Amino acid sequence: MSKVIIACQTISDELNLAMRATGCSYPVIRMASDYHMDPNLLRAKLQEEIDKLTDFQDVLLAYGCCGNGLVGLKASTAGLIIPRTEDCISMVLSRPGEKFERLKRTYFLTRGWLQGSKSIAAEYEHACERYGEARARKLFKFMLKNYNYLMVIDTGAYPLADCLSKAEELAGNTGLEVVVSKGSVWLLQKLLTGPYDEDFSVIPRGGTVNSSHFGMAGAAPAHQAI
Amino acid sequence: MLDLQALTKAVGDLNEQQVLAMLKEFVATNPGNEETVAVVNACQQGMAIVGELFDQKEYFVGDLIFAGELLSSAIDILKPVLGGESTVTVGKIVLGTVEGDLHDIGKNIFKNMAEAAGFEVIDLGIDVPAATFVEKVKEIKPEIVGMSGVLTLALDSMKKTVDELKTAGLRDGVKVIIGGNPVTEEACRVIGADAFTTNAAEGVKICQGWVK
Ligand code: B12
Repeated sequence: MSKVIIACQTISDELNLAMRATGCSYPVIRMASDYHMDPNLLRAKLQEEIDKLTDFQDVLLAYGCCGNGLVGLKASTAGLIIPRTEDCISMVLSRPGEKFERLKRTYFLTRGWLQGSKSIAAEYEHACERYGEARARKLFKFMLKNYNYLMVIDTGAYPLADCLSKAEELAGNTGLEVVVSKGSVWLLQKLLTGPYDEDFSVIPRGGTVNSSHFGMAGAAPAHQAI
Repeated sequence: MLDLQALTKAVGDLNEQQVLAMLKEFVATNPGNEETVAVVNACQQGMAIVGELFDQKEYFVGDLIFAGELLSSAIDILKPVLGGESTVTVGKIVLGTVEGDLHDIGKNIFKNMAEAAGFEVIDLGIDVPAATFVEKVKEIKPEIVGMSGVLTLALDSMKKTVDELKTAGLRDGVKVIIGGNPVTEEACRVIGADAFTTNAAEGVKICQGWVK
């Protein structure tokens, strides 16, 4: 039974750690982080990769629902196994068996989140170039007016110091407070090893991903009384 | 008369100076309502260009925010001449980003456009619990409830809000419209909303249809 992993570059560090920890050696197709800024593009790119596959039994998707980026994917060439989680933030912050509550007023960072060419740090640089520093600060105050905290998630998968100094700098420019919280790669490890229980959706070859596969509103019975 | 195409282009280019100068000059001519509506439309078309350029990765999130601010200053300049003959509001919309979601760029764009179309918009902000929507609907008795959200979990919160409106016996008295990237026809049906859109201008048209 052969498996292949398709993973978002954003969680590269975390996937590498999970692979080391479980001794997993499935081939990995890594997808650019930038795609996640546009769920429709992400879906198209993922489908392209899935359609290209030959002779794999299952694809392990190291993604969450990602703003519906995965909803609509077709299991064209192999079965799909997807963690039932919202995004990579809930993926690393949730705990086995517990319902995940996203912290309020918080923007989350890992090293992976900082690296993409559309990361919040890259955004800030772009804004400085385009509008000058004073205006950029104003724009970011406005963009992040609903946020108080910049949370660095210590997933144990990368040296924290790197990320922390960048986060401090960003926080200084945007008026946020840095907090650090422990995360884990348990769900990624389980994606590699199984068992594929209620933490996952398994879409057999020929099937299509829909929102109920993530336990979202789509799961509710459609015949609900009006 | 103001060059509408040039205005659309200036908004699309995020050329703030030019946009504001054009609008100020326009307002100084004491224009009629019809002309002003055409100018608002030109601004909206400019916003659509911004959206396209964002999708094409040309613009960054910071640019979207800037565009939102630009639209709101544009509408502010136009307000005195907008209502012109009819200062009565065409209807009330209670609007908010649903619980758990902090994104508000799209909501604010819709708000600005709805206000420009003569609606009174009661903006409840972000991360709005179902109970707050219920309370405000009771208090304000709007024709329309607008819910915005871009996180996947927003769909659950939207459903919860509609369910609580039903429980409170308020659902039949209002039209419910939902917006934001993840909303789909399927989601709309499951949530029990009356309409959905991923385009603010279309959302305004739907709302206008309801209050006619
Ligand atoms: C901009 C943005 C941000 C900004 C938000 C700034 C702000 N003040 O809103 C910042 C950088 C702060 C941010 C933060 C986060 N974000 Co964000 N963000 C986006 C991004 C790039 C664009 C969203 C947007 O504003 N689009 C532009 C607007 C104009 O479009 P729109 O909302 O669809 O609105 C239009 C229509 O839908 C309609 N409309 C909208 N609302 C309504 C309402 C009504 C009634 C009507 C009629 C019409 C209407 O009108 C608008 C104009 O036509 C998306 C990706 C994407 N491309 O969608 C990710 C995205 C939504 N974010 C995402 C994530 C993960 C986050 C964070 C959790 C990231 C983090 N590291 O912490 C936090 C969110 C915390 C929280 N609890 O909410 C994910 C969501 C995944 C998921 N869980 O579902 C996305 C999909 C990106 C991704 N795949 O990673 N984000």
